[in-house]
Amino acid sequence: MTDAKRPGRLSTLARSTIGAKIVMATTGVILVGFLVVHMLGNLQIYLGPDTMNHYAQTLKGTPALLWGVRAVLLVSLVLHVLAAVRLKGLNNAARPQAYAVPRRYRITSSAARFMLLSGLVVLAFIVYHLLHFTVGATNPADFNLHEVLDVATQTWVRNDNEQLLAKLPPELVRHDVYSMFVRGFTNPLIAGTYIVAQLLLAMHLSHAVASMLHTLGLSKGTAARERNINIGRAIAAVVVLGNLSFPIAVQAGLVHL
Amino acid sequence: MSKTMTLTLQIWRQRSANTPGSMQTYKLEGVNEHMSFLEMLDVLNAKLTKEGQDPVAFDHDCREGICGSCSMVIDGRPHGPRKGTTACQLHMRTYKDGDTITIEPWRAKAFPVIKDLVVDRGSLDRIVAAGGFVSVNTGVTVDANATPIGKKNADEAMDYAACIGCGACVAACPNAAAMLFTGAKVGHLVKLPQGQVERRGRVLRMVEQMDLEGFGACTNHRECSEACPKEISFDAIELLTSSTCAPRSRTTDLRRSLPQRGRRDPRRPRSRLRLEVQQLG
Repeated sequence: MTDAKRPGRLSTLARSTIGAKIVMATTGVILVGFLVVHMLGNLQIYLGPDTMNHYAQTLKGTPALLWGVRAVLLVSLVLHVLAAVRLKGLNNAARPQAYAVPRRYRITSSAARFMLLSGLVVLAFIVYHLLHFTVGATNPADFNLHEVLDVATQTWVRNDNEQLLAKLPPELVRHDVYSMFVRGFTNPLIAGTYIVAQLLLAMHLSHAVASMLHTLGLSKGTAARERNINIGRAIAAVVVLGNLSFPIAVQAGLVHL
Repeated sequence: MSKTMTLTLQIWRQRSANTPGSMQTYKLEGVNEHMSFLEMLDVLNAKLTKEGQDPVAFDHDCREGICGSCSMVIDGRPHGPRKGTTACQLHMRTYKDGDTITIEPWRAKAFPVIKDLVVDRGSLDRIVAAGGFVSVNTGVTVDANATPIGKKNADEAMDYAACIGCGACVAACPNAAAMLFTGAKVGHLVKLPQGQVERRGRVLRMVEQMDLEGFGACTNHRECSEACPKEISFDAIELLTSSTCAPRSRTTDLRRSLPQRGRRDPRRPRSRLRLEVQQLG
């Protein structure tokens, strides 16, 4: 093949396993970044209904930013999952005959070995979580909760009168995210589902972050790799402990209506 | 007086590439603790031959840890239990009397079994043939140190060049990836000025060939560098990734240090006539 007929450098790179590595890492950065911000934002639940609902109202009040971020996240997630599934296929094909004697690994972790499994559970959880709290498809009674601004006192008051809500101008109505949150986690089955999913997310992140930092070239030398493994575990712990606190706090009655 | 031991060996036997294989059990008595692992297999083969059985086929050449031939997974670990040690340099004093040892070949699509413990590792050669060499004419042998190379780069290039191409990294990898090998082959050239001229094309061609051979993809398990008998650093994979993407050289680029045909070297003063004309103008 002459050089002129060869596919371009970028397309060759994109199709290679190195390209897949880079896709996993860069989309991973975006997704981990979102997880941190998402957890920090939700910590406002501890500051009471007004802060939480105001936060939600602010996010929804900037649709360009909201949908821009959502689009980036969706594209990242799709690319991340597609690259993962493709890599799994290649890796399974790379060893058609398994070892007859079980392998004795020296350094890898269970988290690293079961990335696809933990990833698929987290993916299923993301779909459920969106249906539950973003679309409101699974528990509509707990989702369709609103507050109305009392103009005289400048306070927000719960109001579920749908006819009234339809008539009022949009700036006087806001989604009661706080009540949705509390009612959503009151069901022990739902709270349990969230807790299990978060534990698998912790497992996923504990390998993901170190792996991502390595691919991005931030792990030169054994000391840096050990440091990045600890950074990965720390990020996984912070994100997941923050997230776990929400269903637990509601179940324990610390956050209530 | 050296100790002797009796061992139970479970060895993968496979007549040819196309016949299915299985683990076979052999009892071996009188194994001297000072024997190397391969010498122990020699003793087994002598016994099998005497009994009229087919001896176990295994790859070996130098038996001093530098040729990279002895490819066997011993008790679930490539080259056996000792770190930084090839199977030929593994000695039977590592084992105790009465131990059971399992031995099987490297397992990877890119390493088809030829017979018993012998696999075809031509795929690694083809990765090197795709670009792991310098083809520019670098002239006759020059005096040592005529091209200054920093101590750090020289050391790193040497460490990557220690790769013996045995394939233990692939055997150890849960994904059967060959990125540590390819990274080492890229690494020993990318750290030196002689490797810069063809760098861009070389790395991508080697990665393409690596994928074409059916090796898996790295997911950062780090088993490869742990299994490597030459202890090649896991940095090789980071180096492979960055070398594949980097549009320009990060180390000395020879091309840029040489005057280019048809273009004026900016460090060379303009001709006096030109300068005078400019000053007049």
